[in-house]
Amino acid sequence: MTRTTLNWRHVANGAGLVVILMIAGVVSHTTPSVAEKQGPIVVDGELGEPAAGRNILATVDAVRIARTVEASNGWAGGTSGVWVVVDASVEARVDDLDPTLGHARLRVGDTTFSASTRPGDATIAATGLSIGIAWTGPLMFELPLDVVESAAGADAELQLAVDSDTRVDSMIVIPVDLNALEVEQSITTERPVWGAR
Amino acid sequence: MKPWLRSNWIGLVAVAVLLPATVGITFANEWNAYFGERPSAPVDIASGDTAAFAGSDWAVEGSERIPASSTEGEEIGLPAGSELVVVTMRVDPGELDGEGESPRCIVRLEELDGGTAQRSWGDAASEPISFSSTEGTESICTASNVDPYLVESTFVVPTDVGDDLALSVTVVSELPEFLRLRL
Repeated sequence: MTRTTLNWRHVANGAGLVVILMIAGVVSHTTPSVAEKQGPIVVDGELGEPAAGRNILATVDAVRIARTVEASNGWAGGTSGVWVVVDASVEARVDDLDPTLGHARLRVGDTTFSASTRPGDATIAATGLSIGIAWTGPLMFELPLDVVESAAGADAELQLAVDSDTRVDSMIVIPVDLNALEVEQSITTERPVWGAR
Repeated sequence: MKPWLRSNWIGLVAVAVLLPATVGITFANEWNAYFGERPSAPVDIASGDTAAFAGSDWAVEGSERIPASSTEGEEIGLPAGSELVVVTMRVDPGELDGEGESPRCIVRLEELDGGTAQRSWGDAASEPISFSSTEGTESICTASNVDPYLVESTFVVPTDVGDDLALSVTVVSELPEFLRLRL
């Protein structure tokens, strides 16, 4: 009868290999994805409260919905859908190298709507941000009514960022329940104002 | 020394040297390329001094702060809670380039804290204010100017801006160095 002896060196090699595989597994599963490495840095905000990112400070005072909008510059916005009007105040914090508020979007479910530039200078969508001096005025989003009334409308989010390329920089995200808002017949918006309110 | 180490020490030393060297050189290249094309190396010039830079002499002649609440500020149409900072800089072109032009420049206002810029403002030329520039001054560096000339820059800043301010002057050919002229 042959007697088998335990070779401790082989056992140690096997244990070492297992440990290395476990470490590799942990590293593989905890490595940030490309989207996590390059995505925007989300700053959670809420209605009525200032939210501050690296180079943006924003306060959203109100969100309203209407079938038509009459802007301060006389522009009248008719649409087959509705207008979501956001009253906001936005300023830069560090520098003014970006010429405008680069990213003002409303996400409903998988669909993202950009702030309309159709009203021209009656909104703050195309105004340049100043450091420490806020622009206060409306942002207007044109949406189909069924999107507003959809289940996803209850969990809509308003996104604000300085640069249109939102990668690796602050993006303020404010939750909005579009289902809870009454659809008004018409809204008249105020002229954007530069400076302390 | 164990036999395994004795027979592999050259390879181990090579790995120990080459691995950090490769990582270091790669990072240094990326780092230098990133900062080399940006105004990242300030040349600090004390208030009132003249700087020789990019073949020209540069000096701040004077600066003024106009509050929005003042009569002049109201006439200019400054937004509430702001000030207009007006800076006049003398440029004395010395060496001209091959086309006989003096350096073009980008001017910004910096708010400093401990020698580091905390905030910076671009010229207010495109802002909705009605400031009338001083006669005989330019609003930007003008390449066709080969004789000494004045550049008047304006910046709309909030009233909470500090007193440690500087005019930064960037000439692309000199990057990453740029002038930081203290006001």
